Amino acid sequence: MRIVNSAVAVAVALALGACASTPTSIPQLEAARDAVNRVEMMPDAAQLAGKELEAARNSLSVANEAAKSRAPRDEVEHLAYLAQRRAQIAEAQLNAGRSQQNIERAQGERDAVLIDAREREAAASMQRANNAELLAAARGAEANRTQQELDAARQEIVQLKDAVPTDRGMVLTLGDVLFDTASATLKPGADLSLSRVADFLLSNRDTRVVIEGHTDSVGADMYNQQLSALRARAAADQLLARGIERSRIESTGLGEAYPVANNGTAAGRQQNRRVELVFSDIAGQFAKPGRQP
Amino acid sequence: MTNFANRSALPAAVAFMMVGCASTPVETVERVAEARTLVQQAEAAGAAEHASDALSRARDNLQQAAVRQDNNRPKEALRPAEKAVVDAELALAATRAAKAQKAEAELRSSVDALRRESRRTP
Repeated sequence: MRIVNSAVAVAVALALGACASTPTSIPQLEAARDAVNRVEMMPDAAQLAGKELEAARNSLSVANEAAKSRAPRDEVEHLAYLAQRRAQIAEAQLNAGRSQQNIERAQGERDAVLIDAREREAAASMQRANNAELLAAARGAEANRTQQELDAARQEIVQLKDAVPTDRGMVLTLGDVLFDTASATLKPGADLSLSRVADFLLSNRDTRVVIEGHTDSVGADMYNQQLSALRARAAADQLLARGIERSRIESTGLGEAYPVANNGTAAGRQQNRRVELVFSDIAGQFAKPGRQP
Repeated sequence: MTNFANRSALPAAVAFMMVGCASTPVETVERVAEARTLVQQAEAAGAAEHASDALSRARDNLQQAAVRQDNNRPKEALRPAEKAVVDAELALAATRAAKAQKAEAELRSSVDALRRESRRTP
């Protein structure tokens, strides 16, 4: 091919008779040789831009042959131009190939970093799980402590600090202030007292309670008896609502029959308006028989 | 390769048919068409941004070839058409290289960021 080409170039030169002399050095051809040389010097050129480098070499050969066979200068310059561009194309291809290689390498690195990060994350989440376990254990201890405190509180209730020992047994008095006047509805303040009573009954499964309603002497007997019965029932309902068995609760309205203070004074009457909770012993036995209205 | 074979055919034809004969401009037509296609490909690939020198040389040479072809000077159109072809091919290759380089730099910096991030986390 090159021979044909150079032969043609010679033929063209002869036919045209244009250029009698071709200078030994043509800058464009030198530039093309340098460009091809430059790419050839790169050790990875054959691998990354083999085809393009081959094309550049061939193109340069054509230009060299043309120069050697004293083809017209413009012909040589033109062929050298093409060869130089081919060399530049090879170099660009080489650069692109290098970048591609680096990209693949960087992707590998990125994957390694990601895998590493995932492993760290896995280790960290395992650590977190361990921490959570420790925390849960700590919370469990706390819960135990809370339970102990609760038990202690229960113990207090068991002792029924507000209850007073009498010849009838332990008696807890809910004062008049826990009911609205002439009403059997318990005020919210009664909740705490009745909650304690319920806790007490829950932890002493055999203890029973008699709930007595009392009034002062003002008003008709019948009315007082009914009101006291309703108030006692209201307190009993609260205990039922807190899970105490009906069989352990008895409620009764005693009206004005059992005053604890002088009905002649306002303070006395207020003391007489009350609900009393009389507790059995822990075996369910009352110290005395229940009072009757 | 075909280029060289074809190119050698034209001067041969010129040589043997002598100057002045109306030569068949198939070679020129093909080369101009090829150059035009490659210039369009280079433009589409983003050569204006990444390889503006090569692209503008390709456009200039293509323009010159097209004008000479239009003016019924196919022999004079061949060389600029051939130049335009390699210029456009260079524009394409340089654009590919620039894009690859950019992608590489971006990936590199993202890997670096990832690595920094990864080191920071316990």
